[in-house]
Amino acid sequence: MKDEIFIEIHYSNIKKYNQNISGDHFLTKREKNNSRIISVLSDGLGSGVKAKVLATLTSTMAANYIQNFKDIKKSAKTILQTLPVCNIRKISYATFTIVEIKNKDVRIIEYDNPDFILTLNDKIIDINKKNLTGILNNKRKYELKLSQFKAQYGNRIIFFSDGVSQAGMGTKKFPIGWGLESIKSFVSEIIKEQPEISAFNLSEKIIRMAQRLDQNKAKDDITCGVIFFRKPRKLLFISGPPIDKSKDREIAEHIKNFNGQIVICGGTTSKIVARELGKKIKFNLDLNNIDPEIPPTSSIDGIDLVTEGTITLGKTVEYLEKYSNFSNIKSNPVIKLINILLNNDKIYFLIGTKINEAHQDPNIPIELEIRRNIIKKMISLLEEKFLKETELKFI
Amino acid sequence: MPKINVKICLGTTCYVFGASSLLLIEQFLDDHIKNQIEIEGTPCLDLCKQENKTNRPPFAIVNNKIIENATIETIIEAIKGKLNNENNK
Repeated sequence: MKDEIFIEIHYSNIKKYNQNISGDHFLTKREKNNSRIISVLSDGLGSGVKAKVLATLTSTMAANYIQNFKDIKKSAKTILQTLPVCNIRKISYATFTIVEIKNKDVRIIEYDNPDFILTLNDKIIDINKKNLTGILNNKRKYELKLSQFKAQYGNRIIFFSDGVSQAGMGTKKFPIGWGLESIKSFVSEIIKEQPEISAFNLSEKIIRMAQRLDQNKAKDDITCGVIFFRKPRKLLFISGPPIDKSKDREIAEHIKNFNGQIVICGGTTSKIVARELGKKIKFNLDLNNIDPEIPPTSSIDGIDLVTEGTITLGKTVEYLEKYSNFSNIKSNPVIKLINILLNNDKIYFLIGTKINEAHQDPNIPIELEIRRNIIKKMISLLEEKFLKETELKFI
Repeated sequence: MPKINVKICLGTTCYVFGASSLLLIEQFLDDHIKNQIEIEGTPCLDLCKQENKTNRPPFAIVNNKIIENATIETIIEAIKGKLNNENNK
């Protein structure tokens, strides 16, 4: 458990001023349980739709090739030869940066994109790159840069399109653009100030700065990807009474030994936990703000969130299916639960399997699903749509 | 005089049978009664799970009196009953 690294990946993009679509493309593929991750940033020649097509094609091909074959050089060459040729310039062109992470081994292949930046905490790390050169069928030379290293805690890989490195070009401060060295010191300053800054926030900061240097009218598509190797944030998700009363104690043990956030979904479950821990349950009743569809939360000292069970779980799955972004939805117990779920990387589900006899009443006015089924749906959404790691234990 | 305690069960079963609307009971009470009661939510009271399923959700408890199939009216009735008892003592 101690060596566990979580790999957080995010990218941010601003399209060229007055363009409808960005000509950069960023793509990430994660294999089951993050055993291998492939991220590609590609910048298509020119801007707009044509560039987007080139970039999408390039990044998709790159990701698939790398996933299925080992020989990077061959893959890169094939990609370069497959791309459609621009009528005016007679070249097929899309730059790319491919990052492949397998366990802690990182391989990065760059083709004509600005150099990536590697940091360890707030220090910039220099990497020796190997040049791979070759000749395409149309006699054109190409040169790829290959870097290989072992990732450790606190590493960040920052890579971007030339919209970032050339931002501000022509201005007094940066006549030839923002430039790699200035970007490095900018990044290192930010990390010094906020050592735990997320991949998302860092990539946002970088592109906002680039946009500002372009006087808020981006001269090119601006894209920045950040990969952050950090300790996983863990969540223990408890729902449902154990099938056998003698296991109540076990739930309490799990809570005591857990290092991370804890949520409990279920009235009976929360009663069991409160009893086992010798704590009180208090309902958070706001009589002016009652939602007829979602029961209120309650609190138990030491537990991050306590909600009702079946209704809340059902609604949570519904929201997770329907939306990808929750920041604009008015807070309620479901949103609170979702925020905690999405804020963590690894979620341990401890699910009781006792059937609630009161829910079997045919007079019940709405459909209440069996807990196990809801949890299974929730897990598959969290894994596939929100890229979380999960572990499930029935009790 | 201690306040009259009104517990409303917020377990799943009671909630889907309309317990959420019972939380609005204050709106239906005169001010002088409002000051004499306290309303709180409680996790499932397990009343819905008893063997002899004559009990119907939603459940509320006014002091120690269990009210089944509770409505705003039946709870108010119980509160008034308790108040009268207190006054007659």
